[in-house]
Amino acid sequence: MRSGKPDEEGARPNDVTETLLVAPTSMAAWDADRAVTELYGSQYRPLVRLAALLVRDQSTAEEVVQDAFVAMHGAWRRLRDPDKALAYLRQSVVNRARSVLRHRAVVEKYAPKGLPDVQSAETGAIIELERAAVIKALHTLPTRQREALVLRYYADLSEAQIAAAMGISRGAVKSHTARGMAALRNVLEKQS
Amino acid sequence: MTPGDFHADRLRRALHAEAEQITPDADGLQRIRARTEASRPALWSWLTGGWKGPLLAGAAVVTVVAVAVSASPSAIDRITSAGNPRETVQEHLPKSAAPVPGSAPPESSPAGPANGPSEDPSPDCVPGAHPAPAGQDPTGQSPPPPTPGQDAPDGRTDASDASPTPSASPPSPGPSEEPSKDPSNGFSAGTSASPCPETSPPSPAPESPPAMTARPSPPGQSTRPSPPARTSEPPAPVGPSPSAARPTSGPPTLPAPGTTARTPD
Repeated sequence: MRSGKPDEEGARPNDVTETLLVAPTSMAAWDADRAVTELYGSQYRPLVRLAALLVRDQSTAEEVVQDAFVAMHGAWRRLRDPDKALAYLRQSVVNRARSVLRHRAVVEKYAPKGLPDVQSAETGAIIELERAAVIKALHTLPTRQREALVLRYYADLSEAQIAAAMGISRGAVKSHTARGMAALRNVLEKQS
Repeated sequence: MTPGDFHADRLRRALHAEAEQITPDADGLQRIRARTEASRPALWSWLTGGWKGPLLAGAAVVTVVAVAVSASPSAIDRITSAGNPRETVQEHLPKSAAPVPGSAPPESSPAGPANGPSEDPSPDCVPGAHPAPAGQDPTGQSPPPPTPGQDAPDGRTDASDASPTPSASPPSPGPSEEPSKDPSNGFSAGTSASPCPETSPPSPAPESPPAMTARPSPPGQSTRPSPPARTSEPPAPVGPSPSAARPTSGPPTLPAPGTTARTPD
């Protein structure tokens, strides 16, 4: 059962997010171009999915991740470490997704329009309905709580990794996670 | 299963299912590369592109090494003598005296013979002095002063070089050593001179000329008492006068070296 908390770094990787946690080890001697190429092959898709869960738009998620790779390319002289590069990418994706949502909130405030749907999950199946309800409830949460829940339950990151990616303390991570789960539970129970 | 676990597991399954539906476009890497190339300075990309990077790095290294070597001439000596740590150390320690030992071996060998001729003015010295003294005999014979004069320049240079570092203390042992070496150990003195300059290079070379003049007197007079006072005497008359005395004491010259050798020891 996956109810346990992944407090330890790199703990409990699953088949989907394993590439988010395990970085190639022979990256120390790479130059920026090769680092981008190698990390793209192993991390681009998981990062795009992570960004899509945060921004609810695949094309925007891809732009966010591409921006993160370009920034990592420019900062590779400081990084030169696969672990640092992956953490840098993850934090960059979270920050840029946050900026996208902030900008989107401003745009919607003055020109309200429907949010772009990632996929139409309501196809008739109960599972699909349940999933759509959860995702919809997730997007009603504040940004920080949603980020903490996505990084925790999709990327399976530890509290330390979530804190590094979000730029907050581990205590704040615990607080955002607990409050987000409580709010999500309330929303789902109301729906049911 | 607690309600929290239920909702957490539900959320996890929903997130993974949602993420599985997302398939990024395949041209992501091309877009990233295009943006990184666009943000890269054209000059930098030209410099680092292909074979130019290593070539520039090598040229930079060569330039730095050339500047470093040309900047300090002493660096050349260090590089050339890098294999022998002793030489480098010794050369650096008595740099002022270093030239003395370098010039000393050639000078010491001639000085030995020169001393020979001076001690053994003409007939006696020729046999006892080996080949070298014979070659220098003319200078030593014609006037004792010239031989000291010839030696003097060498001795002077040596003395000038040696004087700064060793000062006055060396001159006294110098004369005593040289006379002893002249007759019997002329070559040995030369060979021993090479090691000597390392330990006490300045003393032997500068003192050799005065010793030349002083030697004639010691054999004639006796053995040990000569060194200090004779150094003062030699410059003027001692050269010729001992020459006359030595012919008689030609054989006795052998004891003189031994005695003189004892004194320095």
